[in-house]
Amino acid sequence: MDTAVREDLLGLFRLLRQERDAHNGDSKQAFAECFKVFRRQPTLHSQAASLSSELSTISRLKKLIPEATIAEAMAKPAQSKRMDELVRDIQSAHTLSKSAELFEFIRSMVGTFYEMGDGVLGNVDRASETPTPESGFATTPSDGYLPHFDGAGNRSVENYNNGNAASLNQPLSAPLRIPVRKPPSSLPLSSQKHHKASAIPVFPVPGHLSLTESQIIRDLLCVAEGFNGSKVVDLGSSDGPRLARDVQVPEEWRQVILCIAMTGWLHLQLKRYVESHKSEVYPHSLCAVALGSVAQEEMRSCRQVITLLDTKFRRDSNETSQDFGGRLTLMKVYRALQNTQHRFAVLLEVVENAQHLKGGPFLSKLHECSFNGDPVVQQVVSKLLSVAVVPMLDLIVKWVFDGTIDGDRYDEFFITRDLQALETSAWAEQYRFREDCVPYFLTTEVAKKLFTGGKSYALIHDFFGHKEVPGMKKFKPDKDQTMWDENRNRIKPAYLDKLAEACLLSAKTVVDILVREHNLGNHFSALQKFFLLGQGDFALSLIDGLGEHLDRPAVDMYLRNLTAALNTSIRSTNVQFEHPDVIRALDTLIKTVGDQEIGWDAFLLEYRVKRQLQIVFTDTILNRYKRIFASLWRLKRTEYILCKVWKEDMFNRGLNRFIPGFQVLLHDARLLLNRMQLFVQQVQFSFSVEVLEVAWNDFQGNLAKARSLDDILVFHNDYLTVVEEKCFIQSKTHKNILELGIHLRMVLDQIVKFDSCYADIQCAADEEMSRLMENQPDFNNEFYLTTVPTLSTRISNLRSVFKSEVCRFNSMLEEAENSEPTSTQSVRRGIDYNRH
Amino acid sequence: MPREIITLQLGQCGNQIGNEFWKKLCKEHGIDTDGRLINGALTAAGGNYDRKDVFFYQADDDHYIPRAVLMDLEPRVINTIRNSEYAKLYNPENLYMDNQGGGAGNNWAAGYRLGEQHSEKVFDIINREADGSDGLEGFCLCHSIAGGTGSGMGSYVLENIHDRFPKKIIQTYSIFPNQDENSDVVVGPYNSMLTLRRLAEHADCVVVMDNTALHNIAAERLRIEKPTNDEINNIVSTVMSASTSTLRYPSYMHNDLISLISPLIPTPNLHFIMTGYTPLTSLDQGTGGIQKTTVFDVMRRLLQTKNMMASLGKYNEAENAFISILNILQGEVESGEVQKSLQRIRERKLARFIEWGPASLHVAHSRKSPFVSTNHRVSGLMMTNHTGVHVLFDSMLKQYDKLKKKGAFLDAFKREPKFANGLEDMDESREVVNNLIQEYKAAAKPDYIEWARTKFSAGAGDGPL
Repeated sequence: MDTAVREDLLGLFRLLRQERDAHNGDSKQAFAECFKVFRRQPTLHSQAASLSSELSTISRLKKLIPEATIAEAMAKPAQSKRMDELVRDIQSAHTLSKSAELFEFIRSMVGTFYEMGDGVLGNVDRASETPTPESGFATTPSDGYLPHFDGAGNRSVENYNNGNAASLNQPLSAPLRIPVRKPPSSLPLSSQKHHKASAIPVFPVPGHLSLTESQIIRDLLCVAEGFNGSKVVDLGSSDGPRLARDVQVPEEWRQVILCIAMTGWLHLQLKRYVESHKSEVYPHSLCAVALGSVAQEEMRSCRQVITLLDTKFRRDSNETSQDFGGRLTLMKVYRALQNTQHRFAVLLEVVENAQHLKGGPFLSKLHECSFNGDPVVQQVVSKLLSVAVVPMLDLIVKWVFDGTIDGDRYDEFFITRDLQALETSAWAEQYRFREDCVPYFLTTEVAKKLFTGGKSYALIHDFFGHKEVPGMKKFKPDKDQTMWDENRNRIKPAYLDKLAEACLLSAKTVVDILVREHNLGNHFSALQKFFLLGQGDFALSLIDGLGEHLDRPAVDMYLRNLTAALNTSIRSTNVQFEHPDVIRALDTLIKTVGDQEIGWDAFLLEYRVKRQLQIVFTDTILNRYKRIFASLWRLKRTEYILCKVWKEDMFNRGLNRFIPGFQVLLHDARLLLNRMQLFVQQVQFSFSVEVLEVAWNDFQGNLAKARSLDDILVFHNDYLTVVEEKCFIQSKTHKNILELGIHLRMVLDQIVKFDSCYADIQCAADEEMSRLMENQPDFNNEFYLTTVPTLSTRISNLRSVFKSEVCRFNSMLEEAENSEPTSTQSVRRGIDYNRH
Repeated sequence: MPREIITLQLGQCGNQIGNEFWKKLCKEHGIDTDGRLINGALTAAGGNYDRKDVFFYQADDDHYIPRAVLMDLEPRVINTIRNSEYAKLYNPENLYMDNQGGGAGNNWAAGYRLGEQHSEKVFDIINREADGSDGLEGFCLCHSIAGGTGSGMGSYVLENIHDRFPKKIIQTYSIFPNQDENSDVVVGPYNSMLTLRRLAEHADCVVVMDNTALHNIAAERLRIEKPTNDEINNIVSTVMSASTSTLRYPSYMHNDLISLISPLIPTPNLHFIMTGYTPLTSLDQGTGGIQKTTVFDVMRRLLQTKNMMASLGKYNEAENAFISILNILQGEVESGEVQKSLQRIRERKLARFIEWGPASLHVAHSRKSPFVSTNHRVSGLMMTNHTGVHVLFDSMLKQYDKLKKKGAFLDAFKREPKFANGLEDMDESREVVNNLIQEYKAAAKPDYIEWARTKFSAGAGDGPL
């Protein structure tokens, strides 16, 4: 041992003594012993003392220094800092392995302290000397030996093994622990190989291949490159490397050999992965490409390390110098490759976990892996992420700013396109959102925003034929700047905001186009006025004009008559002031019905909008409107009938007065008429005031707030749903709505029956009147004996049926109200006013 | 087809309230005194939503012309209108007056005779108006029942209009005389009785505007000590415009006259409608004061008899009931507010309804004109068929009886051809009104359903009413 080393050691001792003096005399003996050890060491060395003696010295030393003392000494930041300085001094001295081993020893004790979990030292430590893996690689061979001791790394390896990556190959985990976690066991190994390096062969066993360390190193350097041609180890197994059967190595080497071989094994697996994906003409996903490229890069840097090691190895074998400390040992090879191996392990882990995934789930899986205390894992995964995310970001930008997903050749995007979709369902069906494919860095909410935005752009571009969305350019990310924040593995928030704004813009633009260019508002209000009978004068005029046609059997109706009546109504009411598009859209329709039905059952309004508006007014929507119309129209018809009868009765009251005894029948009929009128009025009232007007006002309020086509569609659907439920037309959630609707229809049917009954009454009255012009009243004629009693019975039957039907309707309403409090309240209250 | 309504204004009173009515309508539809649309009326929010064609038609030069026929037997009132700023509003051909005439002299019989005399010319005008409409729904007659022209000529028109225009509804706004004051029309009770008969037999819906109540309301609600005719006419025209608002601003319901009035009138004879309006404002918009106008407040006030525009005197609340009620609300009515108010009214039993059938307080929400601003959030009109109206007829019958017993002032009637051969018409009129009173009384009782059976059980000739 040269003098420089001795000097260093003495210096170290001096420092230790100072430490002791300054602090506490108890450890005096310990430090004295320590000094002894070091002073004696050159002698020991030169005498080639047995390994065990040195080992025992060191373990003795370790025993002599009470752990408590060290811990106490370390507890004070100033002292621990001193200790760090000491460590650094030794490091900077570039001295030989002994000092390094001493350092390691001290460090191992420091390490113990680390384990006690004090952050102060950790921070100092990390800030001052955490080497990056790359620099570790680069310096290792040239600087002789600079072990990669890193307290934090030490711990993180443990985390890595015990924590979320527990699925790492079992063979891998044990070797990884060895060097740093268990210094006492590794120390003997390393000190041992210094002595054995020159000793050829070791433990020869007949029949087995015995190798020297340098032979093994040479072999293992090849192995580490991932070539499976080794005599020493067998990489063929899928479980990990195994020692070749016929190779006999000392038990002490076995572990370190396997550790180095593990690098090779991992290397081989990665190679296979890369090869397998290269071999296909098209990769199955862009993510696989990213994974491959990162793997290749890692392998490249691995090869660099090996090249350096190889150079060193060759120099060693050429030199005859007995400089033991400088020779490449298995341990050094292992240390040099340790980081690479770790990275390989991480990569392979990722490959195994994610190779069946692509797109968003792939990225999300990667991101999951990056939640790891091990900085190596974090680094590798981040790197992988930053590569893998590029195509996804491209897709997002293309989608948002071009409205296309053509770049998504491998079905990786969270939006897919259905080529079968009809043009008119361009919005609803052409593009689909796949929630499970959303990459982790977008929340579902944001992803949906992007989905809507791109869909809007596509709609504007493809469907409305606009070249671009004005004002969109300013949100487009610069090509030169990356959107990706590699440190945090996410899109830079500023860019995400821009994307979101761009999406809002295109979504709003769709609304604007629909409202400004295609008069969406006018159409909504037209449908409200005409299909929901919001404009009463139009409905009235239509009934006036259509009445005679609609009383006929449906099969005898002619569309042209209906259309003519419709046109008259349009011309004679305020509809004439509507937008021309609206008037064009209005038409009539004869629904196909059975032979028994009359025109009233078959007549429907039709609304035909131009192509661009069909995305809002789909056939389904218009059919819902028609159904609502049919229902309200039926109610209107009964009101019309009742008004007609009332008028008839009013005009004939003067003449009918002169028919003796007729008043009784008329009185009954009138009171029934009034009863029916109040019922219809109340139902209409609650429909109009409590439902239609309210729903329409809410809808209009909502429309003003709509920021995308989706908003409009949702609001529109809500609006129609409310109307359908509260007007007893249909409901998905309230099952008795349909039943109520059917029953309401039955009640209204009684009114139609009453109409014909009254017509018969008036007809009889007219006949009797003409008889009375010439004759005296004859109470024994047919009129008094048959007609009046028959009509009387009909009226009283109708009354009792109507009463009981209304009664049942009321109790059904009550029932519905009890089960679903809000839906039907108003109607019931209105109808049941003074308990009649 | 718009359901047009032609307004017939008869006599001094009829023309005055008619004129006020048109003034209101013009304001509400953004029409100026000449009949032109005011600037921006079509583009104003909601400006295009109204239906002007129910009450107006457009001349060749786009002037809006009221579907109104103004008739009087003396030139004074119509000349006043002619010289007012609204002179150019009316079609001059529709102003019919007897330039030399001294009027009917407050004599029903004279008015009736002159009505007959002028009938050809008058019905020419009405015919022309009717021809000018596509779907005439009916007529709206404005008159007083106590004077000479409105009552006498009005009666003649009522009797004959049905023959000429079958199946058209006839609604009247009839001003009943003030019974608190000693009227200068000494034969008022005769006039009223004779007119009431025609209203009962020929009109389909009579809106009773009782001068007694109107004066009380003006004094109490508007705090005007001596209300002028203008103030009274303003109240009447407010009621008229509110009651036609659903016809002029179409929405879901009540877009034609018949659907408005038919549910109110269960049987043909019970067609006398009383009204109430709140909050009222005086002509200068000032003295009405600011009131709290929630939907419930408005509806509650409307149910109070003191707000009713028919004075029911010492009417017995327990013996009378609402047959039907329609409230027309205008203004900011929030959803649910109406239902809540209805429920409270029902819970507090603020309204007593007839017991023989279903009855309800019905509410219509009408749009408010964008051209008229009021300082009330909500205003409401009630149209109700109330059995208490018979009290009014009763007191008129008593006044008539008092006068008739004495045989006072009958000479002027006997001179007229209608009564040349006797006063049967007067007796018949009394009978008709009495029957009407009896039927309203019967309607207040639970057994009204059986009323016809008991009354006509014999099957004997029912005779008039």
